[in-house]
Amino acid sequence: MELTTPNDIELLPPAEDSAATASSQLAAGGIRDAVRGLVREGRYEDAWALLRPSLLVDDDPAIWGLACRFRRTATDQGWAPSCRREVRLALLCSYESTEFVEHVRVACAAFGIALDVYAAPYGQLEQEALGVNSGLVQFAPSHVLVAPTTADLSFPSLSENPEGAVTAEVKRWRSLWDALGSRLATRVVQHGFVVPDESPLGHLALRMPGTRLSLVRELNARLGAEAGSTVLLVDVERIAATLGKRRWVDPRLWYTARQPFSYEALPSLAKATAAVLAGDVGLAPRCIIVDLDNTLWGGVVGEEGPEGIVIGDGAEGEAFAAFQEYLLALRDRGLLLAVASKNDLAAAREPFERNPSMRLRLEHFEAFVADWRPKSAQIAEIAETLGLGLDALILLDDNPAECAQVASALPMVATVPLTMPPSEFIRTLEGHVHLEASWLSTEDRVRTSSYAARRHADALRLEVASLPDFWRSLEMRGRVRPVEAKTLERAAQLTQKTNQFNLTLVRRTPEQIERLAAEPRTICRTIELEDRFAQHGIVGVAIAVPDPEEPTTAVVDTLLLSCRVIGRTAEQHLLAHLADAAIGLGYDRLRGIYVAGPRNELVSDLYPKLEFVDAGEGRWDLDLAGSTLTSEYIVEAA
Amino acid sequence: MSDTQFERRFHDILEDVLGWDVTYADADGPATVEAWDSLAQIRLVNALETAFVVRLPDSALLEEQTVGSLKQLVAERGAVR
Repeated sequence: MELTTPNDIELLPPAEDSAATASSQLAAGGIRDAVRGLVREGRYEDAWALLRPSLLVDDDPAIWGLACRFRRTATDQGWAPSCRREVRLALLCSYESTEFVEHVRVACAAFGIALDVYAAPYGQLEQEALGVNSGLVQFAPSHVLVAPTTADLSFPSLSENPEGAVTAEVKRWRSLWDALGSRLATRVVQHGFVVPDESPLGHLALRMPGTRLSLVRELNARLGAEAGSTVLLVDVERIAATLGKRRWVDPRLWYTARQPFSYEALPSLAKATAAVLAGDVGLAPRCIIVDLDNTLWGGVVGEEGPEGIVIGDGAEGEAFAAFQEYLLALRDRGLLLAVASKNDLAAAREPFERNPSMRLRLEHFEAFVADWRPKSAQIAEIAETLGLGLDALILLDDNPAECAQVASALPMVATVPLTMPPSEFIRTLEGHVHLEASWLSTEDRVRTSSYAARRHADALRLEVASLPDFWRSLEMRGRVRPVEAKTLERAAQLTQKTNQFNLTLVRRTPEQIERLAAEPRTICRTIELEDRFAQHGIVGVAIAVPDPEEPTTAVVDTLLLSCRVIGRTAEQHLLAHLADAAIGLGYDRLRGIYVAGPRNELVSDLYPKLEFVDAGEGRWDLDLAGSTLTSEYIVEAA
Repeated sequence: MSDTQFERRFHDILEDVLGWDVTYADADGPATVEAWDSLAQIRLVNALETAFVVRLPDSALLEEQTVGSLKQLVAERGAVR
């Protein structure tokens, strides 16, 4: 297709943008024809496989418009993308949200979330949240998105009483969150406010605490502080600023249709919202795997030697160093780093050991694979070593052929080809990968050191004769405690994220666990574990509820352990405590359930191994009167 | 851009917004196309503006249009046909 040249047409947006628009249209045009061809043949799955990577990488409104049309067409034909989690999202907003909802549906599908949406009538925020039998209440959402705009704020252009104005708005949103939280077992997600791009006071506005600009900035900060770990915030101001405020808002759309953002803004807002939801339901990536030559440094270490590679000095060297520091910052927030490189192991390790300009050191990597096998084999080994699913991994590699090999052999692994100059690596990573955590718990911060401890423990395992010797040598101490306010978040996070050692795969929000814990005959426990190498923090959850038909039977509704403590007998410690607590509440039987999922085969025979008796239909019973369930290798600490 | 290329691209966009595998005539508009409601018209105008890199007048959003009238508005603003 021939494109119009800028000289032929009245330009909008300005000239420097039109080149980008034109090239992206070319890409969109190619994808459009391919997608439509596949849809005509009824091959929706193939069409989606073609669209999905572009959606994750690109915020091009033409591709997103195409994806929205595709989703509507395919859904009408009964097709739905395969998803790993479900979210029931209620939307409370004060504007025309049809297009936003369409885009959020597409974004959620791209992240693996099956989305059900209830859009409350617009402007009915308080009514829907407070109404006894409102549509919102009947919908029973897992998440409520509160999406106002700056136009909803009662801020004058210059306030006499800035503190009072901000406090009044904080109270308004805070009480809406409280009303939702207290009446529904739901997670609240709030869109932050966009600081207006017009300023009648010019740059003076920054020096005056009462200007609308200052008030909106202050409100965002205060809402962030109020939200804490319970309410999820989407920093809409930052997304709008990244795109550019003038492109974010199309005033014409606001006046004609009450839509507060442009079509160009919709993909990034939808994607950010979906990424925050994905993080909350445990779909965020867990481990970043990096290549070495021309990814972490310039040049080939096998040829230039550990001192000859480009790192630290010069334009390229500084860019590589900055990229290493960014990766370190990701590690500090709890992501794991690993290396997969086609190199000789000794040569690959040398720069980390001998080049003082390197920011990353060997101890920062939870796995380090350098040999001559295909990348996919290296990555499979890393997944195995770390006990992670392939869908939790991202590969960064400057060689697109390696990325393609991995994408074809292990399609669950996300791959990011770093084919651009190193100065653009950080932006590329930020644009491609949506690394949203719902909360940074102490456990996240200690997790990386805990994985390192696991490697030491694994090494130790080889030196001791038997598993019981190994367990004893670890000198493990456990703390089983009732779930309480400060452990709710972590307990919920574990139910969301744990796929392997998880008997029932029941996912819960903190609010749902809080409600369960308040029931007099339920038992909700967390376990904290430490050994001679590390504090692992809270690594397991067990919940028992009364059987509706046999009130003296306690059903183990949830039993799970983080993968870093599998094979340590922690489940036995946890179950022994659960049994004691059940006896204390007058139960005479503990009933275990195993629900098979894609990755929990590991625990399919847990209950029979612990001498629970087969009661049929995936149920296993333990008679509490004659129970011999004890924990031999873990000492309960005070 | 030749006439046929313009037509093809214009119709691609119509189909993406209003529904695939339908042929739209110049006289078609809200009266003859069920999917053509006010939201569809806003989508249409935005998609045309992005694809042809033009800015259409507010009347394109606010007043009733047909396939032919939108084609006219786009062509007038520079997309060569």
